[in-house]
Amino acid sequence: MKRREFIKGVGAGLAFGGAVLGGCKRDGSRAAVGRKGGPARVAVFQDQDVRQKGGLDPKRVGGMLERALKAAFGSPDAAAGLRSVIADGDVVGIKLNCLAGRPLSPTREVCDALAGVLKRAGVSTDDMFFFERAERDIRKGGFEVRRGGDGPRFVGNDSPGFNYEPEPEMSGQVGSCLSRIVTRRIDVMINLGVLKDHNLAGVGAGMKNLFGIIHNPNKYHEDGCDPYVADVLAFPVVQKKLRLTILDALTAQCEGGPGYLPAYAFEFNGILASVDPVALDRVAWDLIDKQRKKKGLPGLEKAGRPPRWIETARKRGLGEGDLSKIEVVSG
Amino acid sequence: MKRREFLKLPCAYVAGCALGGLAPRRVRAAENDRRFVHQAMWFKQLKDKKVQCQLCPRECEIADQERGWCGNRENEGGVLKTYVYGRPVSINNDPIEKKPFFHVRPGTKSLSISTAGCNMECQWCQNWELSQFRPEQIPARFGYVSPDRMVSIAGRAGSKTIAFTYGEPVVFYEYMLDIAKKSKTAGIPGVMVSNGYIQAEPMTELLKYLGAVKIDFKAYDRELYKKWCRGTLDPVLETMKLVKKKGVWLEMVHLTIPTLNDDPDEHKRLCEWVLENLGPDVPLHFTRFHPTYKVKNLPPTPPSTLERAYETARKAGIHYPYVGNLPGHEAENTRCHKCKETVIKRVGFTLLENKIVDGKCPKCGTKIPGLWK
Repeated sequence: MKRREFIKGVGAGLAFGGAVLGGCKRDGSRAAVGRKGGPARVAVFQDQDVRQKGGLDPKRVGGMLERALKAAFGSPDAAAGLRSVIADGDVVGIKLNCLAGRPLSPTREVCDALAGVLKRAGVSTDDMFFFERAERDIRKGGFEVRRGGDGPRFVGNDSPGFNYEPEPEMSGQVGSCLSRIVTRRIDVMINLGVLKDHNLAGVGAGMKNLFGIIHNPNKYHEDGCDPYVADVLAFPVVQKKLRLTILDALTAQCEGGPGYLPAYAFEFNGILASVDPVALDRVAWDLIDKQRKKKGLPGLEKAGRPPRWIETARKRGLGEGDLSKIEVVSG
Repeated sequence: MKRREFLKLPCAYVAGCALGGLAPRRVRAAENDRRFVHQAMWFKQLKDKKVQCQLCPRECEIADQERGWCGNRENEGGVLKTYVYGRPVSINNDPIEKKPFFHVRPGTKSLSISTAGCNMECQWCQNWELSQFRPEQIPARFGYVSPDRMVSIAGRAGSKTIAFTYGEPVVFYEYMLDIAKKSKTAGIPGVMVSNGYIQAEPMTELLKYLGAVKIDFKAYDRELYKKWCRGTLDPVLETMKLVKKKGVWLEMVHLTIPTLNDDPDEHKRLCEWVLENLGPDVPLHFTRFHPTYKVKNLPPTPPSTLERAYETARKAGIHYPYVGNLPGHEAENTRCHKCKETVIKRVGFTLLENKIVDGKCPKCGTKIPGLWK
C-alpha cells in the first residue's frame, strides 16, 4: 500500500490533521480552518530565551517552530502535521519576504528549522524551494542564491528557468502573470512572512507577502490594498497549493514597514503559524496594535490604514477574519 | 541500447522540461546591476524615510524599500532612485509614421526606445509586455546605454529623431531628459510618445529639449480613464495645453475601441475641446484597436467606426484628422485643409509621396503645420 492510500484509508481516524481542523485535504483542495468543523486556529509561540550571546539559538528556534506547527495542525508533532498536507514526492515552495533586508526578513534559523521539519515529513531537500520575487531579494535577506546542487534551493522568479506565465490571469480586480515557480514547479506552498506593519496595507505579514508571486504588485497598493490582497489569495493556484502560513516574529515591527525602521522594531521572540491565512493576519493585526499601544501609537484603524482586505477575504470565504472566532493557541 | 531508444531520451527530456516549465523561452541571468540605478528627480522627502514622488499626478508616497506605482522608482533609504536609467529594453529604428507622427519629418527613421514600466494600466495596452513589467523582469539585452551612446547610435543609423515610446517615457524621465538634451545639440530632436500623465513642472523642463510630443489620448471620458486606465483625465488635458503653450509640436492619437470609446458624441466633445484649447492644426489620429492584454473579448474596430470618427472631426473643424492601423485607407494621407490637395501620400508606415514645399501646399501655398525639416 502506498503512503497516500494508507493515509486516505485511516485519515478519518487520525487524531490530527485536516479532520480535526476541518481544513486541509490531501487532494489539493485546501479548505481554510474555521469554515467548517471547528474554529480557525492560530499558533502564537514565544521563547524569551531564544537570543543568546547576541545571536539566535538554533535549537530554541527549532523547538519553538516545532511547538507552533504542532499547535497549528493539532498534530502529535510538527512533521506529522506537515505530512497531513504534503504528499509523497511533492515539491514544496516556501515564499520568503526579504524586502526589508536582513534585519527584518525570515531568519536563517527559522528557514533551517523549517527545512528540518520538512525533511522529517519526507520532503527531499532537493524538493524544497525557498523563493522570492527576485534573486536580489534573496541576497537582501542574507541568503545565498542556490539554483542547484544538493540541499534546498534559494531562488527568485527571475532565476533561470522560472520567470512568469506569459499571459495574465484574473482574480477579482487583480490581473497578473503568475510566478511559474508557483504555477509549474511546486506542488505545495508554505508562506513564510514576517510580523510587521505596512504603511499602505496596514499589516505586511502573511497574505500581503503573496504579492511576490504576481508580476505587477506595484499596481495594487491603492485603497489600502483592498480588495487586492484578498484577490491574490483567491487565485485558484494559490487556493490549491497554499497549505500553511508561518510568520517569523523573532523580530517584528509595528510602524514604518515594510522596510526596516529600528525605532519601531521589537523583539517579539515568537513564531506564528496557521493553516488559515486570513485568521493568521487577523491575529497579526491584533499583535501589531498591541505593540503600537505600548509605543504610544494609535491602532491601525485610527492611523487610517486598517487592513480591510482581511474582512474582504473573510466575506469571500477564504478564511476567518473575526478575532472572536479564532482560537489562539499560545505558549 | 537501440538507436531508436537512444534518440528517444533527449526528446523525452526536452518535452518533459517544456511541460514542467523548465525550458524557458528566454534564459537569462539574474540581475543585480547597479549600473542602471540613478537618483530620481522630482521627489520630496517625508518622515520615517518615506518619499513622495512628484513626477506624475499619482504622487506616490513610497516607504523605504518600496516602489512607486510605475514599478521602476524605488525608495532607497529616503532617496528615490530610478532603476531604468541607461536600461532600454527595446531599441528600433522605426519609420516615424509608426509613432504615429504624420507632421514630423515624414519618411524618416526615428530611433525608438523604451524601458520597462508605466504609470497607467490601460487594459488594452498594445505594449503591455514592456509597460506592465518591472525592470528586472525584462532582460537588459542592450546592457547599459548611456545618453551619449544612444545619440551616437541614432546618428550612425541615420535616424532623424529619437522617439521615447512603446512603454511610457514619463517613467524613464531622467534618462529621456538627458538623451533629449544631447540629441537636441546633435540636431536629432527627441520626440515623446506619451500618455501625458505627468506633472506640469517636470514637463515644462522636458519641453525645453523636445521636438515634438504625441499624446495617446484614451477618451474624453473621466470614468473610462479611471476604470480602464487607472488614471485621470484632467492632468492629461493640462499636459496637452502646456505642450501647445510652449510651442512644441503636438499630435494626438485616439485608439478607438468598440463600445468603450467609440461614441460619436464623445468624439464630438473631444473635437470641441481640442479646437477650443489646442486649435484646429493639431493632427488627430483615430486608430484601430486590436484585442490584447486584458481586453480580448472585443473585436477589432470596424473601419466604418474610424471613418465616422474621422468625419466627425473634419466636420467639427479639425484640419488634420487621420485614421490609423488601416493600411491603404485614403484618410492616411495628408490633405491641405484649405484646397484639399493631397500633399502627402502614405500606405501604412510607408511614405509614397511628399509634395510639401517649404512647409507649404504646392497648389495653394497654404502653410501646412508641422516639423518638415
